[in-house]
Amino acid sequence: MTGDHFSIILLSTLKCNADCDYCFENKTSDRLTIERLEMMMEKVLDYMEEQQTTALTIHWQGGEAMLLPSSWYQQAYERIGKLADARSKRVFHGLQTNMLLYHERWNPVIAGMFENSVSTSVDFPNLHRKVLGRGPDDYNDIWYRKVRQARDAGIDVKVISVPNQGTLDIGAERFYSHFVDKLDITDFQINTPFPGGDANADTSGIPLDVDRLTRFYLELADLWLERGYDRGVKIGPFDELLKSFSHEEACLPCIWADNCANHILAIDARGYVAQCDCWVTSYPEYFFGNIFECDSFSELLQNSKARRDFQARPITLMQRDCIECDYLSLCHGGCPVRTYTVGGSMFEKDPYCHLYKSLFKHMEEAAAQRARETVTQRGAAACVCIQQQARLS
Amino acid sequence: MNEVVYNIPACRIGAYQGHPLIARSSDPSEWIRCLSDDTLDHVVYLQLLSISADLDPLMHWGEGVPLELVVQDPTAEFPLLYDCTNLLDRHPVRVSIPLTPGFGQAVKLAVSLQFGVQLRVTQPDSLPVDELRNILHFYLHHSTASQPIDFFHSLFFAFHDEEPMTLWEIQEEDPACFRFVDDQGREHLPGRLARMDFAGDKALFIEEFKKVVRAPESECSDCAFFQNCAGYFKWPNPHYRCDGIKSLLRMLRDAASELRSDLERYDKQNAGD
Repeated sequence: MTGDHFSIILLSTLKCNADCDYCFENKTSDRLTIERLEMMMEKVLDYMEEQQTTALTIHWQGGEAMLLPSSWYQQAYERIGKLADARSKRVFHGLQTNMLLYHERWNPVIAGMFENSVSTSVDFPNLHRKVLGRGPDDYNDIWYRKVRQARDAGIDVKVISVPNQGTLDIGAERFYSHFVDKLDITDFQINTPFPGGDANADTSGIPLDVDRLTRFYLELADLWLERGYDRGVKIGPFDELLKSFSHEEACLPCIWADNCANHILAIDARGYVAQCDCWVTSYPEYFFGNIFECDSFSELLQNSKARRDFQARPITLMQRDCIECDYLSLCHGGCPVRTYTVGGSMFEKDPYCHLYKSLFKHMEEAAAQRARETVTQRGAAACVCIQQQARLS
Repeated sequence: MNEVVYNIPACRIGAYQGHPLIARSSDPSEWIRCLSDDTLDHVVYLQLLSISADLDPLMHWGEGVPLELVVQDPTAEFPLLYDCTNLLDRHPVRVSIPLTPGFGQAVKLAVSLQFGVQLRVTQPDSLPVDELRNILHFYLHHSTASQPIDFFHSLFFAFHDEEPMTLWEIQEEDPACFRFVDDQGREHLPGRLARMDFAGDKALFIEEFKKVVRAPESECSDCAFFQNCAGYFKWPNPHYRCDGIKSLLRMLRDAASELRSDLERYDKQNAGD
């Protein structure tokens, strides 16, 4: 990990209350106890001291994170805070949840621990997300109701959506209208699907046809630029790409990091460490080790052959055609899990390369167009002003 | 720059206390052994001669001290730049790249990883000039090129600001400002001039050299870029033809002029606000 900050995705439980068709996670009933959490945090803080890292963000996930009660998180927050304070470290927290178990008793811990913000996921149309024994429509009903309750309580709800075949069929206009106009969700992110875990009927159509998905992304970006940008609507990754191409500070998604191995790790409720939640829930052959079975977290990471593979990935990709790409500085070969789940090896470039290149080009042109419009407007305004002054003199 | 900067092996720091220094080594742990906090105050930058060295010591020492990573073989070494990105959290870093096969890829990757670049230039023949032209186009026009590539960057601003800064200064090869101390402790002229035995006043070397290369009927005598080039590309072979290089300098000068005009026009428009 690097510099003053690093991130951990922490899976507090591997149990889930949903029954989504396309889920690739190997679910168990494991859950983290407060005692084990403290043991884990001591090792993480040791590591932070060795690396002279001052801040940590813990992204809490599952399974379904809300299967542990809010009181557990309150306790976790207090214990982690105490351990961190003793070592002069700062710890921030984020929560990713399906929201199905949200209740107002969560409000205090969401306000305190998670800075009054949560992240959740829903697809449109929802073909695959379900609760056990019920269909997608029931899932939607519960989800919409819970999200409305949270927002009524003043909680900022960020949404991740994964396009599916149905999304491509309905098109970008309906997709945009559904989230922004109908649900009034004005801060969301689109993630590309990948066929994680064992192949099944629900993942056989993934990855989606890249040309169709590319068209969807570009049309959605245009809709956002036309209708949402000036209204403060945020759609990832378009908003951050626009900032990047406008030479503003941007926070691009992890799939485009120079090497995600430098920035993030995942630890599950059993203590297994891997590159991210996608890996720790599905691919034991790529575990880095178990934090409860090591003397030192630093040594676990240093001695892990699996981790060395992640570190070596961009070095391998650069010796092929990625080095020729105009957008190398934005992408670096894309996401290892998307590559691995499609091709069986992480040492290839992301299967969505064509989509990324098209999107980068599109947003680059959009940023240039906006810059030209800004200069033209200022020039026109200045001309009007000069003319007015000339008439007065 | 008033004081001479000495490029020295890290182990010879004792003899150059109080002088501005470039301390070079192939092993970062040598810097930790040889350089005290007081000495670090005088270090202009640390020059690492091998990018496959163990960089871990630099993650916990000398925070903020600039680093230069010297690439020796661009084709073989350029992917290893990925192992160096963590340094950017603690140090400003630039990568020094020679104009040998594969240098274009190394430059592109270095910039993509947010490293600054210094090109180690000699007298390039046509193939490197073509590659330099591609890199210059990338530097000037590509929206994702957000790091300086010298000599392009400094020369661009010298053209823009109409400053007489020379390539000798930009490339740290002006003996008036830089000296090279070899591993045996002997002092030489800097960079490409190091192999030369020169008994005269080192501070006047460039002025004397300019007189020689600007002899009547010489290519330099009517060169539009002489003020900033100062005969840089006439070393070591004074008969080197600069046609390819001049095309690059023309691109830089024209781009600098265009920027200057655009900014002047923008300022005039805003004066009406």
